[in-house]
Amino acid sequence: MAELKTIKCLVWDLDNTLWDGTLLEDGEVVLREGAVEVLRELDRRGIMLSVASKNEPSDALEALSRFGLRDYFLVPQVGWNRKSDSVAEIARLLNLGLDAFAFIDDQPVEREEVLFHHPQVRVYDAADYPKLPALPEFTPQFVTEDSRLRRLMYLEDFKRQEQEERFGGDSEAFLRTLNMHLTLSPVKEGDLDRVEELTLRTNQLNSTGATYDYEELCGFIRSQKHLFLVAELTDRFGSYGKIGLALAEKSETALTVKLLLMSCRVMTRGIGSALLVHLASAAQGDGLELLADFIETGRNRIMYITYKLMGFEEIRRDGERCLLRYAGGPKDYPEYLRVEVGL
Amino acid sequence: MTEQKILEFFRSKGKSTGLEFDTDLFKGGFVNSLFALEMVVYLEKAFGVRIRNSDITQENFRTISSIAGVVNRARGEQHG
Repeated sequence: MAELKTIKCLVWDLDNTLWDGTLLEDGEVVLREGAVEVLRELDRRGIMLSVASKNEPSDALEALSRFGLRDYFLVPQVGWNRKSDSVAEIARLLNLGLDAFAFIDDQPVEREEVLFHHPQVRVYDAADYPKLPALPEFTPQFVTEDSRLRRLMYLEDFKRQEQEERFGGDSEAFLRTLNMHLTLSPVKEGDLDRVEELTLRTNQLNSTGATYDYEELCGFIRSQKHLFLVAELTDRFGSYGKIGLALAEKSETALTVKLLLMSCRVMTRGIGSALLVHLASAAQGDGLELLADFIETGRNRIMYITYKLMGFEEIRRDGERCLLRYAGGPKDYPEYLRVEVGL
Repeated sequence: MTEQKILEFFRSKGKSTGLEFDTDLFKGGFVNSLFALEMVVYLEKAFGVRIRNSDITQENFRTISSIAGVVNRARGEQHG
C-alpha cells in the first residue's frame, strides 16, 4: 500500500467555501459555521493555509481581515487566474511539493481544473470542511512546538528573503546582517518528538538517512559513549526553532558521526559546518580522531560535499556507504554565526 | 576556456567582485555547500562530465583554476 503523505498546505476557495455568499454580488458574507475552528486546528498542527479565490484582491483580503483571519493565510492568491496556477504559485512561494497540497472548493469545475493540471493535489468539496481535521492526511504524526510555530516561521522567512534580495547574491554580506545565534545543546527527553520529526522530514540535508525509534533515542541521551546534540537557531527576524541534529559515538580512538542533519530552511546558513567545527573540537579535546559515516541516498549529495569541503576524506567505501575522516586542523565557526554550547 | 565559463557561473550568482582565477574561494567566502552543489551540477551539465566524489576536495575547489583542472581531467578521461 502506498504511504499516505501528510498534507502540508491546504488552499481554500473563499466564496461559498470559507464563507456563505459571494463577495462581489452579496457584499456581506458570513463565515461558515465551525470554519474558524477548522482553520485554528489545522494551523495548530503545523498545516499551512492559503487562498485561491476569484475575486477583487483588495475586497477579499479586507473581508479576511474583518473576520480576523488574514494572518492565518500565507501568500493568498486572489484575482482572476486559473486556480491551478494559483496553487502552483503558492507551492513555489512556500517551497513545497504539490504532492503535499490540498485544495477545497465548492465548485466541481474548479476542483476538476486543479486536478487536471496537478493530479497529485488532493481536492475536497467545500461541504466536507468540518470533516477535514478527522482525516488521516490532515493528522501529522507529531505536533511539536516547531509545528505550532511553522506559519510564523514562514512569515519571518519572507522578510529574510526580501532582505536577501537586496544583497543581490552576496550571501556572506547578507548573513552578517542577520545576527544569527546558534545554540548547541545535548538532546533532552522533551526534544524527542521534534528529533523524530526532523529525522522523518529531512531527506536532502541528512548524512545517513538513519532513523531511530524512541527507545534507541532515549538510550543515546543516557549513554556516556554518545554525543547527541540539537541545534537551535535564531536571528533578528525571529526563531527558526530546532533545526539541526548531530549524533556521534565515542570509541577508544575515535569520535564517529552517525547522523548529521538539518532542516532545508537553514540550507544556506552554514549550520552543518558549525556542527562539524564543534564536533572536531570535541574530538580533539578528547584526543580522538573525528570520523563520519556517510550513506548516499540519491538525494543527499550536498551533505557529502559539505563534509568534503570541510576537509574530510574518504577512507573506506562499500557501495553507497562510506567512512570519512577529518583531515583538517582546528577551525573557527563562520564569523557571521554566534555559537553557544548549552548544557 | 574552462576558467572563463566557471567565472561566468560565479558572475551569474552575483559573486564576481574581486574574483580572479587564483582567488582563494574559501577565504573569500565565495563557497558554501549549497553553492558548491549548484556549481557541481552546473559543471556536469555545461561540460557534459561526471565529477567523481574523489575529485570533490578542498584543494580541488580552492580556486577557479583548480576547479577548471577537475573539469578538464574529467573531459580528458571521457574522450580518451
